[in-house]
Amino acid sequence: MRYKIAIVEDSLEFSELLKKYFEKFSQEEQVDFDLEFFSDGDEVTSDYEPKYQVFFLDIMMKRVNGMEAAKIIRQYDQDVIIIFITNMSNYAIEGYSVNALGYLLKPLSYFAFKQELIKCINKINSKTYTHVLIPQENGIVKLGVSDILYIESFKHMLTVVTKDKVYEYRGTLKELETTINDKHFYRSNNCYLVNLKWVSGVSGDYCIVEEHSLKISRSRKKGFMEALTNYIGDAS
Amino acid sequence: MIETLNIPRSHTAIAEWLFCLLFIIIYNKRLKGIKLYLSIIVFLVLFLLYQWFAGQLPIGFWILGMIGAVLLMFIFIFSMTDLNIKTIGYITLQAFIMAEFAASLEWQIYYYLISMYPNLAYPVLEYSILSIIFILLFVVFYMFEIRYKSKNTDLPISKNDLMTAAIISILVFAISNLSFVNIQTPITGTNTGEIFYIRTLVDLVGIVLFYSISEHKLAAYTKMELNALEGILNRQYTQYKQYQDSIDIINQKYHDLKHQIGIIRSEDNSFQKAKYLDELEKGMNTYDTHYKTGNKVLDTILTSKGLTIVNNNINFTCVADGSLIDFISVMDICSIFGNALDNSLESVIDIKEKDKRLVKMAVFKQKQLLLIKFENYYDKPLKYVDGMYLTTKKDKTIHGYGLKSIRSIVEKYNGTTTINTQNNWFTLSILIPIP
Repeated sequence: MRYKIAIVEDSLEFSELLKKYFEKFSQEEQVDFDLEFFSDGDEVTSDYEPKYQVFFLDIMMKRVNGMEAAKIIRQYDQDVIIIFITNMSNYAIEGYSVNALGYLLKPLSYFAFKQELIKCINKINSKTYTHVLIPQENGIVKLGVSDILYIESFKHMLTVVTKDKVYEYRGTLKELETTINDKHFYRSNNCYLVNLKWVSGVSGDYCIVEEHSLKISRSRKKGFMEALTNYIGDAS
Repeated sequence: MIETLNIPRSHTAIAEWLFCLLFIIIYNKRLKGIKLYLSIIVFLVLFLLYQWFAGQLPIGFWILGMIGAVLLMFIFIFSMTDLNIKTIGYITLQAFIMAEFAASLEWQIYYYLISMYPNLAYPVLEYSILSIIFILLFVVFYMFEIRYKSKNTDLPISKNDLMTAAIISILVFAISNLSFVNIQTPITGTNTGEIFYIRTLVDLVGIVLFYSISEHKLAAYTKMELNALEGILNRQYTQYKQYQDSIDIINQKYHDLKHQIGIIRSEDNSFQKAKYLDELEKGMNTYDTHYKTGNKVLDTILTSKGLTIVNNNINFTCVADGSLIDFISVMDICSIFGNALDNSLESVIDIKEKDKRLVKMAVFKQKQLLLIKFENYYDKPLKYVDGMYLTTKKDKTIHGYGLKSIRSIVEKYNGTTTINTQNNWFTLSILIPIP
């Protein structure tokens, strides 16, 4: 797999340095990159195409600065990883507003660069796009695992709840759990398998998933909360 | 076994139910309104039925019957409160000893009265003494418990506490009931009044022991609070000293700057001029450690760490929406961020290669969930003791304590703390539902 990387940086010197670092990383780790260089924010935002996996964005640029560019990129692309480059910590502190929780400080060492890139690659690789097959009366429905909000089990019947549809069929949570085999799902009690991605809050013994309130059993509360903490922590 | 004149089973049932109720009133969170009252009444019936049933069993099952009673008390408290298992275990034992004491005391008084005035032996007397004693003790114990709760002693019940409680309860129960088994020992009585008195006395000792534990915990908590306050004062003092250091550095930089501006002014080559300016800028950035996260307390903590970060060449990056932590108290913000940052910074300072001194911090939210994350690179293996990570530093107790106190503060806000170590990165993640 080749990773598509966009680098937006107005200093030619620094762009060269990044290029060297990428080449070194490629050799060391046997990973290939497609690098594309831009020298100002407006070059990527004017007609944005969501084809990159990672953006390296300098914050201080003349026409469209990094933060503004990131805001525009986010309108079109929720998944791309954004990493700011800055010589002033203060400028990146607001990165949370564009879901950019990592940044690189100038002057940049190869070691710091490498660590950040490893994290990026792990994050990209952890996004698995698995599917489940759900038998329905008029055929089999193929459902993206990440679209599932939660699955309820009741008397050998499974109810798979997505944002806009509900599917029912005969089966057990145990079987489904092995096919999903995803650390992004967790059993909140005997009858719910919850997609942690969609958990928007926890209140008392209930977790909030969109408009649903799902009971967390006392014995699973600790494990559930820890799984949720790790999920949100890793996803960022 | 003297069974004829022993406490009626119904009295024991009421006592056990009543003192469980005491803790349920204090810690109840689960049920409200009609459901609450109904469950309480259902449990009273259950206690009475259970004791009636236990009374039918042959005497050989007596101990088993008592264990069953304690189990029922545990279930009662478990089903009506949100406390953790260890705490419930502890208060069940405490309630059990309270119930033993109350029943024993009221029965002793009743027995004394009817042996003095046999013509008074009516149920009216029996139940009025029961009511008076039970209500009196309930009020006294309630006042004690509410005092502990108002002091907010959030010290969790440890395994050791539970063990101590179990030993106290078993000893008290065994000694207080020894006289009822027909054996002669130096600590058993022979006449009925004496036997009742010994039982009441031993139960009282049990209660005193339980309250001495509580008092001890309260004192420990107060001391911990004092230590925390002292820590904050110390931190403010260091901060003040650091400001002074910063001012000295700024004054020195000011002189350097004047000098450098002179050089730049005299330089004709524009390329050289730009190079000097770049260097100047680089030099200034290092000393710019003012953070504006949106939360003043967090800003102060970050700024106070600024000098440590600069002086030790630590690559510290931080993305933080400070406005999210406004609901956390000042003291708790200081403890969480102060402890976690100190842990991370001190851990990376030990790394010889300066390039590897990487520390990251993030404060952000996903919908209604606040996440605080501290990460640092490490190159020496970490030690993991008793569920706590210790840095390779000498002062292990303080570090273990740091993480422990973060964990207990986070629990106060119904949050969760996790620690992960992967690819030489130590990650402390804190999740708190935003209220």
